[in-house]
Amino acid sequence: MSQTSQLPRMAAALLALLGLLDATYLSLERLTGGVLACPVGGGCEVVQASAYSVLLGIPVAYIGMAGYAALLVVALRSLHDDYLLNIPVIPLLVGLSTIGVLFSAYLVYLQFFVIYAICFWCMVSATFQLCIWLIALYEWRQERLEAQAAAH
Amino acid sequence: MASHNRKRSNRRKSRKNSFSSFYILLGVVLVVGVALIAGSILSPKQTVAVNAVPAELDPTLPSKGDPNAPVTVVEYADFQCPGCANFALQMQESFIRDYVDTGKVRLVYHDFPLSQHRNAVPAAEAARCANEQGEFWQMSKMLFANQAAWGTNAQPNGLFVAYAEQMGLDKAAFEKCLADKTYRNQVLSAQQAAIQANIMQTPTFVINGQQYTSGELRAAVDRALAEASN
Repeated sequence: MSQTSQLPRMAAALLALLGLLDATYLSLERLTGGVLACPVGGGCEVVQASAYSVLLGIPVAYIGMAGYAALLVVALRSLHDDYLLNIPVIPLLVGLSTIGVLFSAYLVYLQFFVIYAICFWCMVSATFQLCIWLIALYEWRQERLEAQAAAH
Repeated sequence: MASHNRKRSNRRKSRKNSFSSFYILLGVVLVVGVALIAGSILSPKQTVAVNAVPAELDPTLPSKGDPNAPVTVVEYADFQCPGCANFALQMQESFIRDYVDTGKVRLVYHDFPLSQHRNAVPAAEAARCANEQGEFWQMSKMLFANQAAWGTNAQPNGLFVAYAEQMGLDKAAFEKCLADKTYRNQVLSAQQAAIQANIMQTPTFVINGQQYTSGELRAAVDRALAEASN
């Protein structure tokens, strides 16, 4: 286990939990709201009502929930163990968060250049993804530096 | 070796402490988050508010029903809003049959194109151009029914002209009305008036300065009718 500070991994887990809550909120909004009224300045209602809010038949908000749940599990595991199901946990976090950050970048692109409406909570999610990805990269680098130091 | 072990167990102990406070933090975030989400999803959106100053109604607004009806309902709506389409296509017909055609209510349509809907202003202009030819309500229905087609279209005017043609309107006059942006300023000042009237969502129905949602409309009209007959 890493001897360095656990704070970045804790931050990653906290961000994944916040992201999970955010995605849950968007999923429930999608299920319950949107049909009866459009709030003033409500970009989420436009984005969620657009054709781009569904990917391969699955609402993007649900995909977000699944993604954040996976990130939360991996980030929590990284606090206690170096492996999850025999997969090195930090490279796993890097891999998952890279997918997440690329997906978020695509969604941000859609909001700015295709739908022409900005959904605040979608942008918050993209920010969380970016932060988790940066933390994962930092932790990966730390792990490799430690391995190098141990080899010497 | 012994000192190494002790060091390790100390570290483990302190780590355990920081872990438990971390998990408490996660638990608090989870509980607060779930409470906020449940509150926001379950609580009905607050819409009923009294306007300090009832906005003076623009007499050029399209309306339906007896001008001297005991109750006037002003609908603030946006042609690109799915909620407004839902009202127009699911509830409006029976409302008009029960209240407007019976002379109880005068229904006024007040544009409130929302900023997040890129084609809401041109759609409102198209409806007013159809109004010139006496077909506001038919065009409004057409726009709501075809929201998905023109809503994200970069050049919605072409579709609006096609709708006008389909409805049998004078195509040249309609096209010119759109191209000249004849009603752009009227639509934009209606938007300003809606903002000043503190309308927070569309559709909003205003009766005697009070705001109601589409779900509250019928009960509110019944109350206003009862008050008016007293």
